[in-house]
Amino acid sequence: MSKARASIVAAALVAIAPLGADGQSLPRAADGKPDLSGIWQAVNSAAWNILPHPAEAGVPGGLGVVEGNEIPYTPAAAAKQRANYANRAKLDPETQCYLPGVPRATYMGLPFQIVQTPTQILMLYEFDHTVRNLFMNSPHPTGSIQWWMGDSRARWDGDTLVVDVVHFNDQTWFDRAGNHHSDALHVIERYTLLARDHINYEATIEDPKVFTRQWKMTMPLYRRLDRDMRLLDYECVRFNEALHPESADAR
Amino acid sequence: MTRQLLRSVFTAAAVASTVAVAAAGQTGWAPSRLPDGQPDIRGHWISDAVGGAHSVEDGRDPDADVIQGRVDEKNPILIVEPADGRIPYQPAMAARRQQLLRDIFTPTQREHIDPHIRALLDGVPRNNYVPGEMQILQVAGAVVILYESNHSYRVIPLDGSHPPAQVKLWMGDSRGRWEGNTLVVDVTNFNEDTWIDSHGTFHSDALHVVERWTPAGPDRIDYSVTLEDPTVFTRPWKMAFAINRNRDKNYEIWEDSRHEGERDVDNILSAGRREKAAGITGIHEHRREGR
Repeated sequence: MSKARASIVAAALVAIAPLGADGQSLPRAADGKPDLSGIWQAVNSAAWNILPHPAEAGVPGGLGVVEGNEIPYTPAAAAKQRANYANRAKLDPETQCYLPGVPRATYMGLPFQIVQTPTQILMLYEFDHTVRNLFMNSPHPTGSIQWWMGDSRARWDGDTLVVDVVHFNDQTWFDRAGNHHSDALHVIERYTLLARDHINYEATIEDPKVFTRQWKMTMPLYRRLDRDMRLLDYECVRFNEALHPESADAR
Repeated sequence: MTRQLLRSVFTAAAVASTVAVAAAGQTGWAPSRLPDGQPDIRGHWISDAVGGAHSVEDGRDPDADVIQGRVDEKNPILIVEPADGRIPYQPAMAARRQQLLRDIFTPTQREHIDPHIRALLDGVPRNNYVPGEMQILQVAGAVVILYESNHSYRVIPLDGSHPPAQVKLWMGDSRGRWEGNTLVVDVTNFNEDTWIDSHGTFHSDALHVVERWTPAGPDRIDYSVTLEDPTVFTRPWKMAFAINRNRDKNYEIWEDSRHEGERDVDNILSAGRREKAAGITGIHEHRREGR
């Protein structure tokens, strides 16, 4: 191959495979989109509290994942959060093994797997074998729908996967600290592959019944590089049975 | 004949019959190929055998069918081997199963209640014949099955090996390979907590499942599954049924959260305990005519 031709080929390769933030070329799917396939995990303490917090027994401290370190609750919603926090051992839906909602599923401290196709993307979570079905370029179904994980419709904005999620119920929390929302919750997620093994994750939160303005969480997701990595299971419902073996007698 | 010898004879027979099925699959219908060479079995599918979720030996309860207005619905028997259609439990295990059928009649502990009702995962192969459809997706190096029932999923890598035996999973660990147009899935690493049907058809954590998914036409997959568990069964046994394409256009699997704080299990238990205290006992039993 001549030198000139080689440089043309090299230029073409660069054009179809732009570099990630750290200069590596991004893995791409056959349709040219960034390839998010793989097993990912957030490594932070947002599962306990999405806001900055000191360590307690069994709870690692955390810098928080909320931009501006503040959640813009209405006064009534702020009071509800305080009550939730005070009664979190009993009220946290995680302790009931309910599906965790969005974005909480992302940072439960357990891995999740992305299965990517051009028309549909699956997010498979280890916690409670939770599933999200992201349908590409299609509208939300209409009607009064309330799902634990909401209805996810996705599209590519350049190299960023943007997921619009609505149709939530009002039963899930954002963390173990009682941060909450209503059934008017609207989440816009942005997944941006920074390099082969890093995704920048953003979740913009809107809920006019609970917050005075929209707000945003940001965190990196890391690829699990463990040998023979696969999702295992965390069947919370079974663990709950073991914790309450005689619940039938109690009622 | 020793048990060991018996097992190898039956294994040989199973191998012979599955080879025949695979050959038929290759000549009968050749699905198109995906870019990575996999036969294309993507899409939405519904098994033809939901009665098996109640009993793989006897199908749905005819009395319940009358109550639910399902008398004319398909209710095929799933077991194709052994020929008598009964699960080849070892004698002590058959006794334990009989006791479970009595416990199902008047349950007093959670373990007497079908794990499916307790919102636990169905395991393999049961997830393939519980009510609800399944979607098969294929990506490079893997087949992924999304089940409608209890939002469960399986990622079936086409490479790699099973994790160490100490790892126990509700859905087991599935490893697939293509034999011609047949997807053969080897599943191990089960726990012992799932039932194969609601008749208390239990297994141990030594369960070894081999599934064969053979496309038999554009809209049908012939599915067969061999179950082997030397601590519970006297020999491998086999089920087979058809899985048909869901013709509902633009179908999407929506959330089946399954566990939402309902008290079904508590109610079933308190009823069972009251009945038992009142001296009511019995056995859950119904046999298909002619058996």
